[in-house]
Amino acid sequence: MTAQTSLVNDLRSIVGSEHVRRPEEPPAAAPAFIVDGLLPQAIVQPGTYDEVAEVMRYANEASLAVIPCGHGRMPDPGNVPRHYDIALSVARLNQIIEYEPADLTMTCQAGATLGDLHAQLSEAGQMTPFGLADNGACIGALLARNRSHNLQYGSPRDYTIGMRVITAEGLITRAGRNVVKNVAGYDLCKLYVGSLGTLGVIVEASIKLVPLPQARQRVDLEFGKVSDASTFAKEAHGRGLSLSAINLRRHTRKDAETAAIKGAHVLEMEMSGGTVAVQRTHREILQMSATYGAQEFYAPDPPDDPGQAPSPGVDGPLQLEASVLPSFVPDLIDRFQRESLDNWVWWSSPVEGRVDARWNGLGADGEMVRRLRAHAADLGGTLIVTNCSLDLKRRIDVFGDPPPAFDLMRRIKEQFDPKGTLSPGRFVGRL
Amino acid sequence: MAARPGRLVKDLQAAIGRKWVLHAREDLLVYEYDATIDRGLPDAVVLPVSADEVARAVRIARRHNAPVTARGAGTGLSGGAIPCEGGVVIVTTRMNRIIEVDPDNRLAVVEPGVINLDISKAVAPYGLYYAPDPSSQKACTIGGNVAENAGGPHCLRYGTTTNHVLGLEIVTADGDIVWLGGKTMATPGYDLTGIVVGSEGTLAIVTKVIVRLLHKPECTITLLAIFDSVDRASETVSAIIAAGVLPAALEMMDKNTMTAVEPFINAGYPPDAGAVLLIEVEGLEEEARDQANEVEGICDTLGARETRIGLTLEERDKLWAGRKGALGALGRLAPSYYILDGVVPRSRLTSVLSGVYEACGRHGFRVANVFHAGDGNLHPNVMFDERVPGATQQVLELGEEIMRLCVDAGGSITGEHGVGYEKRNYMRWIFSEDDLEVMSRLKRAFRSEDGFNPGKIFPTSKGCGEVSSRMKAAFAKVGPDAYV
Repeated sequence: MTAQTSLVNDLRSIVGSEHVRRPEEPPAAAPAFIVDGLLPQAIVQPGTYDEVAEVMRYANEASLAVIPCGHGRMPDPGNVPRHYDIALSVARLNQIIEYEPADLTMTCQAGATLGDLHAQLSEAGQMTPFGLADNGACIGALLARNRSHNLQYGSPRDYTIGMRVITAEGLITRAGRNVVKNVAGYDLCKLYVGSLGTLGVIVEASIKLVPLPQARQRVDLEFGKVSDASTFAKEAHGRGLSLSAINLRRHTRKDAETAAIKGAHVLEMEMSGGTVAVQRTHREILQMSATYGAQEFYAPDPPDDPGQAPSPGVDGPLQLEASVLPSFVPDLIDRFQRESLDNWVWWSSPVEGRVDARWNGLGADGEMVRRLRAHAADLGGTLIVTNCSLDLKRRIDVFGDPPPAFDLMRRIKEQFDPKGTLSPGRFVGRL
Repeated sequence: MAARPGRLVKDLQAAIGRKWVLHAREDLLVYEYDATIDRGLPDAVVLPVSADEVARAVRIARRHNAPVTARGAGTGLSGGAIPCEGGVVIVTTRMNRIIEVDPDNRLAVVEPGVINLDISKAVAPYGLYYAPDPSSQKACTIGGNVAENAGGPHCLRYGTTTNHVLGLEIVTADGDIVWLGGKTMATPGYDLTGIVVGSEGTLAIVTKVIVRLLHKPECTITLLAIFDSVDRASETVSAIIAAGVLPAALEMMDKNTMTAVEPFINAGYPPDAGAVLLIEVEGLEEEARDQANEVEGICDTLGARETRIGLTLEERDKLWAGRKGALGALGRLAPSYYILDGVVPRSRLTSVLSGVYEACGRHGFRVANVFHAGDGNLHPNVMFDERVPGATQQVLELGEEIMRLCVDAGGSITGEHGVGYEKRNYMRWIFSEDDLEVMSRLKRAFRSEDGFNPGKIFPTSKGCGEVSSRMKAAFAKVGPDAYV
């Protein structure tokens, strides 16, 4: 019996044989369970918290590396793992545990997708603050990455009020409660959100909900200069207009077919809220645009780009997320473009100070990443690589140099996962 | 245990200067209490002016095995600033500079001793403000707000301190100065800022805070709705939330509170009314007006006998006056009162509140409820006379019973005041041994186990007197300078 057979058999005895498979077994092609070119020995889908705990105890004792995941469709950013034995999918843990509309909160299991949740919440006129950008994404994966930011509601860290997390050694633990205000003990939810599966397996979360907006609308404007678009965005936001997202990007080739200003930039403004507030926002944006000399932009049909920042991928072109002070966004974009204008596709939130970018050219290497990172650092920010060729990924730290508080982070990892069972090597400083 | 104060004090004086190290008993007495009932006398009090001085004081205390407790303005309501086990109290009030205001990027860098309201005053010329508004905001410091994750009436819409802090400079128990987070939205690594906020001074001492600022809303409308009963008012709270209106603030006062307030504020509360709701909506003018109309309609439907609307600042201040003066007024009704802080899911407000009245009645105490109803954050204020033998003990038992009611309803033992000393033994009601073990891993990672604010948050099998002979729980009369 090979070691893999023995591992698979052991896991089957914990969760039942139909919930463990080898990656090569059908349904084949589960490419997302591949992490940076590495295949796990087994993909396991526990159906209860006790089973998750049992799998973790087993793996921890046997010194096997576990990478928690959702439905296997959203690769995390992160460094190449040191080991990878078990993909622990929370896909079967997909129930809503508690939902009382009058509380405007909800507790669900980590494998519940935004689509699952939306179906139930919308009946009561509510929604999660994650928005609906990615209906198939599950709560556990979204929280582990702290992705999805909304100008009106903030980030997952801001609206996660409770969690159930299973530790490396298999303790089933709870943080926070299903109440919107709570200061009992350390706020461990903050620690787990964004920890990329390196401290525990998220199996349940309580989330603050928001009312479904009465109205939603989008207006796109064309600007010649990044700096004008950026100033415009900040002014609109500063007026308190009902904006849920403001996204700035360069024209794509297809855009140019309908563009009024050649070689320009598109500022996408998503409005969301009460009907009158959205009407007023729309009106005011159009009035403002006249004073800025901006043109309303009508995307070609069909648009060749969804207008959204790319998700992290695997073994593809260089993609990155930079975070700088909002006032430095135009400067950062300018510095990126000096690397060769034509090869960049970028998306930016000028209000939040975020720039996501993809390099479509050839020859992205460690030196280029170092240079780009130095630009972000020079502007007081940071830059992480969310995708690149495997070859390059093996040679860089996607998070850059360890942050000033790295010693504390290392000690936290040692306390929570002394044997390095959970996603070893993937996090900041290869924790 | 604490070493001989003599040597400790001399070392501190050498490092920080004689003037800023207090050690005479009459000076120390000023620092043995906060706005709670507990007391604890420090061995020395240090008033540093910089992170560097804080770090030096921490290293010296460590060398002498003396615990360190940080203190801001001492307005806390869970004993967070009380040195349970003596040692060194580091007072941050001299570190009170607003170092930087960056209106373009909507942030400010401030020292921990800056008073909450002073941030909003400093940034007002740019149309900005700092959102968390604990009722003590004219007196409390941002460092204390960070330690306790302070809330306030407007947290309903904008969140608590943790949602408004981008980064922190801290001094660790090793005496190192470290930056957590930063000015930008995202910084790689674990969210240590989110961990230190609300850690009640047990993990680190905060020496600089980067706060996020918000644009002032275009329009704010305040509504005051008068109800016959607390039940009707509670149902209205749930109905407003369920209707998809998220007010900026949604506060409730009960009959006892109104009775106390009326002679001083002349708010015109009808003597037979059961409860009032104070509801604030804000945003774009059209939006605020729409929401105000909707809220007024809901109040009508649920039997409000009168709804007053404040549009101008003057009108709004008038409607808020009763709420803001409530605690001061309560101080005149009884020799002492005990402020509780619990939180329940909003839909359980009605049943838990009736349980609170029932329990108080059974124990024979009057209670006045004035609280953040929209958040489900209760503040029963139990009135009593500490001179009556046994009353103090009985009030503490009643408090425990009320906390139980909150927990049984799926709530928590504290919404915004903190666990501190008094509630640490309730922690097991909501957390398992495993949950607490995981929390204590952070203390180990920060190496602050016995060094920073010992005796807080974590439950102990030891009773109050056993923890330290210094820690003598004594009820203090809490007067008009207390806030919730």
